[in-house]
Amino acid sequence: MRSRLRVLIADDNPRVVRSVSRLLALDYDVVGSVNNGCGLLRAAEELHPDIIVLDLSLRDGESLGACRQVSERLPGMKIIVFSADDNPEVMARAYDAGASDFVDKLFADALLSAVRRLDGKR
Amino acid sequence: MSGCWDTLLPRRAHRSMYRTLQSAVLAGLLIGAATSDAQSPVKQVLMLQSLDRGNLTLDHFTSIFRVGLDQRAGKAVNVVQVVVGQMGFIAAPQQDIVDYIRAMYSNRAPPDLIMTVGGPAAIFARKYRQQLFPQEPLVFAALDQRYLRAPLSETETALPVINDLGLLVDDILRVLPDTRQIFMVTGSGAVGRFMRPEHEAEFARFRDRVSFIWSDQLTLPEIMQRVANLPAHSAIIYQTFGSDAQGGAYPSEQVIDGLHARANAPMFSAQSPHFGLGVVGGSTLNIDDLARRTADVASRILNGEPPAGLRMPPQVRGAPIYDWRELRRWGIPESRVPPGSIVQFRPPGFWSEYKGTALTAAGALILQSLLIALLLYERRGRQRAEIESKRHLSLAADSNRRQMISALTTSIAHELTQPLSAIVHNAEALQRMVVASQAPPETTGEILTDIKEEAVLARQIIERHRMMLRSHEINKKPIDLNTVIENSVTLLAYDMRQNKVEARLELSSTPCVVQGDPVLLQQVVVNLVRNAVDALGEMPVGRRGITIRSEVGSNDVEMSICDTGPGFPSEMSGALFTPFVTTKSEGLGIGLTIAQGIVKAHGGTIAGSKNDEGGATFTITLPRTAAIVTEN
Repeated sequence: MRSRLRVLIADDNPRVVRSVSRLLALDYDVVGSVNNGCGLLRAAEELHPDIIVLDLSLRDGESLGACRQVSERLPGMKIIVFSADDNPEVMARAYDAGASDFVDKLFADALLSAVRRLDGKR
Repeated sequence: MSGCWDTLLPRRAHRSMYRTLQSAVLAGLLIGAATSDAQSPVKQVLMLQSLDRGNLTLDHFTSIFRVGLDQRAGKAVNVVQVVVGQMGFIAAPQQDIVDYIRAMYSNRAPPDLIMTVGGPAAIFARKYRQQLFPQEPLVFAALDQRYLRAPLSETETALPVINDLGLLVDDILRVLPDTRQIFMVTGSGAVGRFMRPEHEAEFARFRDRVSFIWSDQLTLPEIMQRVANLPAHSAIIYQTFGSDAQGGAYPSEQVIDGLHARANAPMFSAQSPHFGLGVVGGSTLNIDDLARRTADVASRILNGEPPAGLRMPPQVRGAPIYDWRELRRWGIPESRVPPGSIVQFRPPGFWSEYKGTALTAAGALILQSLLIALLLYERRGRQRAEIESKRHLSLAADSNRRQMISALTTSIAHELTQPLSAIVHNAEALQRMVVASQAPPETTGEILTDIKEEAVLARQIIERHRMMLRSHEINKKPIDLNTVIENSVTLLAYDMRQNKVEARLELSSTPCVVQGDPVLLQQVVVNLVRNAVDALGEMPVGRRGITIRSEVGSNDVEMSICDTGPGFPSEMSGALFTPFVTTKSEGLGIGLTIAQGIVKAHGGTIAGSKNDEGGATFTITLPRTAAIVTEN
């Protein structure tokens, strides 16, 4: 039996973290959350998530930097960039930084679909 | 017209009279002699007076004539007056007077004109015409035409009057129709004696209606006693006086005053100089007009015109004139005075008495009203200007806020994204739980609570921005400036984060309460912070800091926004708040102007300065309000 997918949430808004956790927890293991980009790599290394749901607008402005770090240091770890800004340039920068997917923060289905897609690729 | 003095002087008085007369006219003779000797062009007039001074009518006539003659003659005129009536000569014989006059002119040229004033003098002159310069022009003046029954010669002319007292009785009966007796005051002198038969003839037509009581046989005290006890329906006619039955001479004014004071009946007179002294009025002879006409004739004769060509028709009475005071005194209604009458001495009405004052007051009032109107107009204009200014400030502020919010769209979107994202994920989670029948009530409750709270948060964010977008008129109330600062920073949090600007708040622990409009003051703070954020864009990341402080003073609240940016150019120091002055490549440069307008509208000040260590600080001072802020 396959183990449940481990998800780490990186968002500085605790209410968003709680709601996303509720949703994903129905099918996956939410192993933790982090509220800044600087702490993401360490959390990822410690918690070994399969997927990181990363808010693009973390308060310290280090979302993409952290994305790049994780994708470089932990290449097997999938990162879903989570943003309300669907500007193609922003999306492009996210993919450049190593994001596996880019989903609209205002569509729950989009996040679930993205997670499922990555789960299916495992 | 007046007293007649044609009785002969007693012989024994002859020499003393001569000396008196000589002295009396000395001055005039000296002048005449000097001018005559030098054959001066100064004209000489010999004026023969009927009465010495004291007869009001003749005195008045002489005075007006003398002035009129000088005005008309156009050259120097000497007038030598000699009183030929008995009052002036202590009843001297008339021949002595003639001799005296002839002696006066014995070594001199005869007078250029001889004038008589009053009836007695006219009789005298006619009687002695052959002895007194028969070739020289002679003017008979100021006399009733009945003194001139004999025809005038070529060298003579006259300016008589028609003194019909019957007309005066008509006037009396018009205003006092019940009059039954008329007490006649004419004195006991020559005029009275001369005129009485004339007047009696004039009164004949009233025989059945009015009886006339003559006083020429009474002394003045007797007259005064009589007039005080006249029977009902009586009136008094004052014609002249001169002297009473005892030969006592009394000036007209004294007699008239006495009559007026004592009489129990109204007094009337037909001569204008008596008017105003206590007579009721009626048609009067205008003595002023007579004197002026006489002066005109005299001057023309002096200028060479022959007297025969200057004959004048007798002067008749003028329009009736009444004394309002006497009408009132005797209860005579004004309705009885003839149409066209002039009523004088009416107590001035408010307008006539205070015309000057009223006009001055009205003028002052009008001026004051105009001034007030002007001030009100200016005040209204100022108020309009203030309203316009406020409106313009409001419009500019509205525009500026919309521009600001437009620039913060990304920030707004991000802010809204948070609660919305939480809502959609919570809702999705709950739906999946319900579908899988894995929705315990507690969890369901928690999720629904979270959703509601996120919705409230979203609504607050929307409201905050909508408030900034809405057109806004200034609306002051007690608010805590610290709250305004915190809300402003919240609004700009995303913007600052994106620009990697670190904001530090050093707010007073004491509420900074001011009487202010939270929306407009937030706009000021947001403007200043956004300016700082923009300025900090030139600085390396890590050196982009904004410190917002607030302090409470005894009377003021001070807020400062200090950045670590490059500061503004020195040349802009004096123009920081000038519209359209900006260092930005984008923007109109009206943010600070609007901020200043808003601060001023709150009675505060705003100033900008460069920091010694770099960057700029904007300081706002607002009047502190003691009110406690209860709102959030």
